[in-house]
Amino acid sequence: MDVSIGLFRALVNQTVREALRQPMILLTTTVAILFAALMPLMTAFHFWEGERLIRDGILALHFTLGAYLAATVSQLVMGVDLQGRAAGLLLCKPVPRWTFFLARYTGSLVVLALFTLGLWVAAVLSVRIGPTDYVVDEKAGLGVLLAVGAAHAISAGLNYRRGTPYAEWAFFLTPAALLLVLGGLALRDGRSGLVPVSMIGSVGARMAPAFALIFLGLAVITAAAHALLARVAGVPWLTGGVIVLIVAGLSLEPLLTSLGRGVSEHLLGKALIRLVPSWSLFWPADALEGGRSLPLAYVGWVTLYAAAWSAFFLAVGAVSFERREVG
Amino acid sequence: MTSGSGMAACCVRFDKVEKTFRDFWGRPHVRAVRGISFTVQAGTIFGLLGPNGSGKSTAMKMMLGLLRPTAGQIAILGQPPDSVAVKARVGYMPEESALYPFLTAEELLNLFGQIFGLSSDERHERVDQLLEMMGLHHARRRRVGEFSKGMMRRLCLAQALINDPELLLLDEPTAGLDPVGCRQVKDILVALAQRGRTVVLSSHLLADVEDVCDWIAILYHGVLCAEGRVNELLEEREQIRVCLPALDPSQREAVLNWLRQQTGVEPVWDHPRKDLETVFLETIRKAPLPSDGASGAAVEERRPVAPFLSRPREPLLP
Repeated sequence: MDVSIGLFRALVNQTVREALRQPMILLTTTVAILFAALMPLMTAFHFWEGERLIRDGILALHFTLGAYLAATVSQLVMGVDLQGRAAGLLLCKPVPRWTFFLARYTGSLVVLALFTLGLWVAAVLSVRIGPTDYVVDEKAGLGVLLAVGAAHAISAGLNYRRGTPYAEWAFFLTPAALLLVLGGLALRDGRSGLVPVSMIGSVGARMAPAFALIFLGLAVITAAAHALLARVAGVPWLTGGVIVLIVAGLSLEPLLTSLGRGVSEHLLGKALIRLVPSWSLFWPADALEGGRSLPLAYVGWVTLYAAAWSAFFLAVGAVSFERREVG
Repeated sequence: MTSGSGMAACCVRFDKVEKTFRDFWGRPHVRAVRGISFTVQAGTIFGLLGPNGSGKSTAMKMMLGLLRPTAGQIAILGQPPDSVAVKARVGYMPEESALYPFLTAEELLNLFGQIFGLSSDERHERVDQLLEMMGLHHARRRRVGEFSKGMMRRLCLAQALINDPELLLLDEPTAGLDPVGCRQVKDILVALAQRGRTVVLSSHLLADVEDVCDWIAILYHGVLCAEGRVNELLEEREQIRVCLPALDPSQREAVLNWLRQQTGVEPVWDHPRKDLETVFLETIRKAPLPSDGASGAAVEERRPVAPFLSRPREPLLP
C-alpha cells in the first residue's frame, strides 16, 4: 500500500512539475492574474453591488482561461506524453495504467487549484484597488505590477545563479508576491482607514466559494478531457470534445425550453439534459448579487454533482486507457 | 528455435506471435510481425537484427506489454508481459530517447527510482553511481531537453538500469552514440551478462551485435528468417586462420612452401588489421582535454560498472 501511495505521489509530482515548467502555463496564469487584479484600473468601476462588471468579469476570466488551461494541461500531460512516447517509458515500469491515468488527472487538478488560488488573491486585490465608484488606487495597482515583476525577476535570478526552473518558480512566487502586497496594503489601510481591512476580508471570504464552484466545473472539464485523450490522440479531438461539452452544458436546457415547455419536460428531453453536465450550476455570479453569499449547502451539493460527473468521465477514461496500445 | 542450452531457464518466450496494426476504421493496415517463435535463455545477450521496419521495435514493445499481439503467446520471466510484477524485474531503453524535457537528469532518475519503490538512500546511491558510470555526473542538474542526442541515450540506458533488472530490453542501444559511448555500452552489457542478467537488444548495427551477442535472430518483413548462436552462424568451418608474429621474407616463404606441400592448396597471407573502433578510441585517449571543460558526456574509456550492478545474481525465474 505504501509503495502504491509513493508511486501515485511520485507520478502526481512529476505531472505538476512538468506542467508548471511549460512557458504557456505561466503565461496564461500571469495574464489572468494581472488582468483580474488590475481590472478596476481598466474599467474605473468598483467591485460592489450595482457594478457587476468587475466581479463577473473576473469570474468569467476564471472560467474561460481556466477551461483553456484545463484543456492545455490535459493535452500536455496526456496527449503530448502519449504521442511523444514518454508515457511508454513510464508504462513499461511497474505502473498500473489506472494509477498513471488518475495521477495525471490529480496533477492537472493541482495546477488548476494553484491557478484558482492565484486568481482569488488577484480578485481580492482588485477589490482593494477600486474600493468605490470611479475611485482607483493607482499606487496599489503599481504595487501589483511591481510584485509580479519582482516575482519574475527573482525567478530569473535564481535560474541564473542556481539553475532552478524559471517558469515553476515564477508560477509559485507570483501569488506569494501578491499576498505580500495585500498584506502591505492592509497595514497601510489600518492606519489610514481608507478601506476597512474587515471589508476586504469579508469580500475575500464571500468570493472563495464562487471560485471553488468554478474550480469544480474546471475539474469536470479536465476529467472529460483526460477521458478523451485516453483513447484518441491530438488537439482536434480535444478541442472539439471540450467545446461540444461546454456549449451543450450551457445551452441544451435553454434550447429545449425555447422549443416549448413540453419538449424540455418530456422524458426524452429530461434524459438529454441530464446527459451533459449543466454548467449553470457552477456559475455563481447571480447568487452573489446584493451582498449575498453562496449557501454552503449549495456548494456541498455542487461538489457532489461535480464529483459524480468527474468519476463518470474518469471511469470511462480509465477503462478505455486500459486497452489502449502505447506505441 | 531456442537460444542457449535446453537446461537454462527461459526468460522470453515468443510462440507464433503476430501483430497487425489497424487503421482508424479498424481495417488491417500493416502486418508488422508474422508468426514468429523464439526463446531467450537466462544470462545470454540476444540480438534481434533486421533492417528498418522489420518488426524489431514492435516485438520489443510486445515484450513490454505496450502493444498486444494480434495472435500467439508471449511470456516474460514466465508471466504475461503486461503483468506489473514482471515489469518490476525488467529494464527498457527505447529506440527514441523520449524523456521528460523539463526535468533534470537527477530528477528523472529519481522519479524512476521512486516508481520502483526504492528507498531514498538507495535511490540517491544508485542515481549517483549511474550518472558516474554514464559520464553524466557533471550534467546532473541540467534539463534533459538541453542534452545532446548521445547524452540522452546514455541517460536512457541509466534509467533502464535503475532497478537492477533481471531482464534488460534495449531498442537500438548504440544508435546516436559516439564510438566511445558505443564501446562503453557494449562493455556494460557484457559485464551485466557475466553477472547473470539477460539482455535482449535490437539493432541494425551489425558490428555492435557481433561484438556482444551470444545469440541472434534475424527479422525481415516481420518474419523470423534465421536464428542461432553468433559463433556458429558466422564461423566459416571450411577454412582456418593461423596467426604468427611478423616473419622475414625468407622465413615466410619457407612456411608457405611447407603449407603448400602439406595441403596441396595455395595459402593466403596478409597482415591483420585493427578495427576502426580500436584506432579511434586510442586516438581519443591520447588527445589533450580542453582547459575550459567539456560540455557533453565525459569521455573516459572503461568506466567501471556501477557497484550496485556488479553483484552477481541468479535470475529469479518462477
